[in-house]
Amino acid sequence: MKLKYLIVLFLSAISYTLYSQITSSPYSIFGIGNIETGGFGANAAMGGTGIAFKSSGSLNNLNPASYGGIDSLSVFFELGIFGKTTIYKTATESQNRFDANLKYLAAGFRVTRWWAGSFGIIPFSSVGYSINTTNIYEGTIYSFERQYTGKGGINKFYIGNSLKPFKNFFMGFHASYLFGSIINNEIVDATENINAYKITQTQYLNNFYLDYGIQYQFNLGKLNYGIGLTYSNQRKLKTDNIVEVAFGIDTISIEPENFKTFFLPESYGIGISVEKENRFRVGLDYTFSRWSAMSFSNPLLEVKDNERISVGMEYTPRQRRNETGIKALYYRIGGFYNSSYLEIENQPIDSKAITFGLGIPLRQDLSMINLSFELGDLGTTQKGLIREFYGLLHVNITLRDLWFMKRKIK
Amino acid sequence: MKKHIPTRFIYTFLKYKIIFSFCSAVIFFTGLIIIQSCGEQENTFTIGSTFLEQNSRVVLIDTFRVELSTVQFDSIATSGTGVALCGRYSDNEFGIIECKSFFQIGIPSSSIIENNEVYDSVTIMLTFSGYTYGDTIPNQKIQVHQLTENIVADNSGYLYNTSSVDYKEEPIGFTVFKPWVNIYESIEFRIDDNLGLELFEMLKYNASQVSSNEAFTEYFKGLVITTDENDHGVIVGFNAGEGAISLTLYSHIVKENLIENSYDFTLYNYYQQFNQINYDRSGTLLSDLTVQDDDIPSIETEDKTFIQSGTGLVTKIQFPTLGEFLLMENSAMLKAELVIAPVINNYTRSILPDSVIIIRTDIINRTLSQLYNNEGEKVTGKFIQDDQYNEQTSYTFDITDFLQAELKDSYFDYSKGLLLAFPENTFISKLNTLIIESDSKEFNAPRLKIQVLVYDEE
Repeated sequence: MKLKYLIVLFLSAISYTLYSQITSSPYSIFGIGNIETGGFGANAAMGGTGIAFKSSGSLNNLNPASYGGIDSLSVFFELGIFGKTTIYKTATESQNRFDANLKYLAAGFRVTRWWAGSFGIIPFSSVGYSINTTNIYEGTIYSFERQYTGKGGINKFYIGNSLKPFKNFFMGFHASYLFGSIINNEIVDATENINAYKITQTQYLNNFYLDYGIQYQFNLGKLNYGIGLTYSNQRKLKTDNIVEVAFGIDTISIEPENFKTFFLPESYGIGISVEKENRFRVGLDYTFSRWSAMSFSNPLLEVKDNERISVGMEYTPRQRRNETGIKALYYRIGGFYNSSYLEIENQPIDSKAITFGLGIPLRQDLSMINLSFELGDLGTTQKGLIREFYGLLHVNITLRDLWFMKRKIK
Repeated sequence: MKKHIPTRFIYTFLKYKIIFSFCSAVIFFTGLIIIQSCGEQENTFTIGSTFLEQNSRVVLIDTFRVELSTVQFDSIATSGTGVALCGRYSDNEFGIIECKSFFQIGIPSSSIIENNEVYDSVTIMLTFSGYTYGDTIPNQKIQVHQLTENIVADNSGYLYNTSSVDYKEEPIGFTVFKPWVNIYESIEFRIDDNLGLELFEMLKYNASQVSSNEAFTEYFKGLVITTDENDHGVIVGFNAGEGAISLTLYSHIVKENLIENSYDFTLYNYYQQFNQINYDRSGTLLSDLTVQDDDIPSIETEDKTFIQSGTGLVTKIQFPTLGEFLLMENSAMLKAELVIAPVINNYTRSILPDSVIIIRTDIINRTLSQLYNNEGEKVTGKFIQDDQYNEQTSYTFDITDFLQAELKDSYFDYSKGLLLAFPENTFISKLNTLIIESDSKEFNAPRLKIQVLVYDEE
């Protein structure tokens, strides 16, 4: 019974993740939408940093090689939800939105001494906008309201593997299946002068995707140093497009041949870290995505290479395992600067944020609730564009169990 | 130990309720904030409109040709309308129209006539329905004739404006009245006493002819009301429901006192009552119009078309160039409105009809069915009266559903036209008219206003 329950719950959680909107940014109208930052709870509190981190206290999916850091007795489950409040500002207007959703589910474990793995489902990109416009009914003195909405996005189901060919060296890859749909609607409700219609443009996207990473971890003195590299190829997303025009009791369906195609850019990342076990860790990441090789059909839009730099630090004052109160917590801080691939009317749509968070250990240190706060902004109010100020609360639960140890005791 | 990972997973899942409760809590919490956030998303959000590629447009196109013609129905069923039309009217547009009303009468409900009862007189009483068409000022002389032939409906139970029943030329009674004075009253006038006596004797001796209504109508075929051939000012309506017209025998008995009696032969079989409506259109624009399948285009009738109830005149509408809509790429017809206007300065003499309907027709002008929209409502013209200048006075028909359906198979058969007519109750019992402007150069020309969504595939 419980098993059935759990499966249903897990599946519904997955489908929930797949089909719900997780952004309301007007910028998500472009391309495949907002590109979601990877990483789980601990990463999020450190500016999304983690290419050189091991998956020790929690899973780190920023570099597939990191799974090698999962100790042999642990199994991790990661579940994340977020709530985000955003102020969208133009030079003249200001509007608020609140979005909240389940974000990801993942599990990680060690298979053999030299092989560790992870699988999960995470958002890759998200589309969610709703814009109202007033338009002229051409040939008349009348005007009408039109609503544009978009929703959907791309999900990534991945299986990650990390191998340890020799001491201190880990190499890994994520074999992923990217899939999802982006639905753009144009909706007009009937008024005295206009009859209703709805244009629905649905784009189904999918493809397999690979990304690779290596990590080298070594001790020098009392500190552990890490260096990590990641890479992924340029990849075209296979698309199927359907345009439906619904009016009256009719629906016209079109399957356009020359529709937008999407490419995911070639991408590199490098990260370094310094760690003192059970005390602190500091990391610095830099990623580069060659978006400039892509082209978008939107004439408003220029694309350029995307660069992201982030730093993060974690510290805990704890001395013993059974520490309580503020001394038992993990404190994290970080930040990032992201020069987006979007450039609209020669204005870069860059974003930056500071992050901070707490890790609250549960159940004798095995599991942890990670809270992270991100305060950031994106875009600009120049040239009639939008600047977004946002506050994001990210709640992550790392469930960790010592399964294999229990087996042994039995 | 390292081999059965999946089984071990499930096993562990089962074992640790805590995971289950955690997940539930998280999902519940998420659900709550989602519901909350969904409520907020309803607000209009205008920021971001500059990012949209607004490629679709909504355009009004009113250049598709609207071709009008006048159709003369071969006949229309005029039986059982409850109104007896009687009179003659002539004008320049519609010619001479003459109405005669035929009906049967039945026997009195009780008729025990005593031996010493004496016949006095016989009259007929007609009650005005209130409907007139034409000029109510001149006097009108109406006559009552006895039918020499039975009124026989056709297989479907109808009699038509073109139906005819023979009657004796010599009237059995007549009267002259002033329609404008009498229009809300009844009129009663004497009928030939020979007929009165004959009926009286029959009642008195319980003749077989008065034993039942069937027997009586076999003997007494019925009556027709006609108008003197010199009167051509007005057509009036009399009530013609069951029992609404009565032929009354008056008699008296002398005993200690004078006792006066009367016996009513009233309208019987009201559904067999019908109005014959003859028209003579010679000298009018419609003089060539004789058969239903041959309509006259508006260009041959001075860019006007005609509707007249009673005589069965309707206006046919066709959209000969609408097939070109199908050649417009990426276009959807959101709405289609037909706007027609009466010829200006023509309708001051009478009030414009406030209801005009549409009947579907084919190439030979048959009436197929009244036009309904997808909601199952009859399509009627929305009437706008511009009292000040008359310029906006028009009827607007929403024919969206009709045209969407006609265009659906990517082929438009323009011979499938539409007929403009009056609602059925008016059409069969009145003589109302409407003259429609058909000149495409006039400001109030008939127009097909199509709202087109031009969409982009991308």
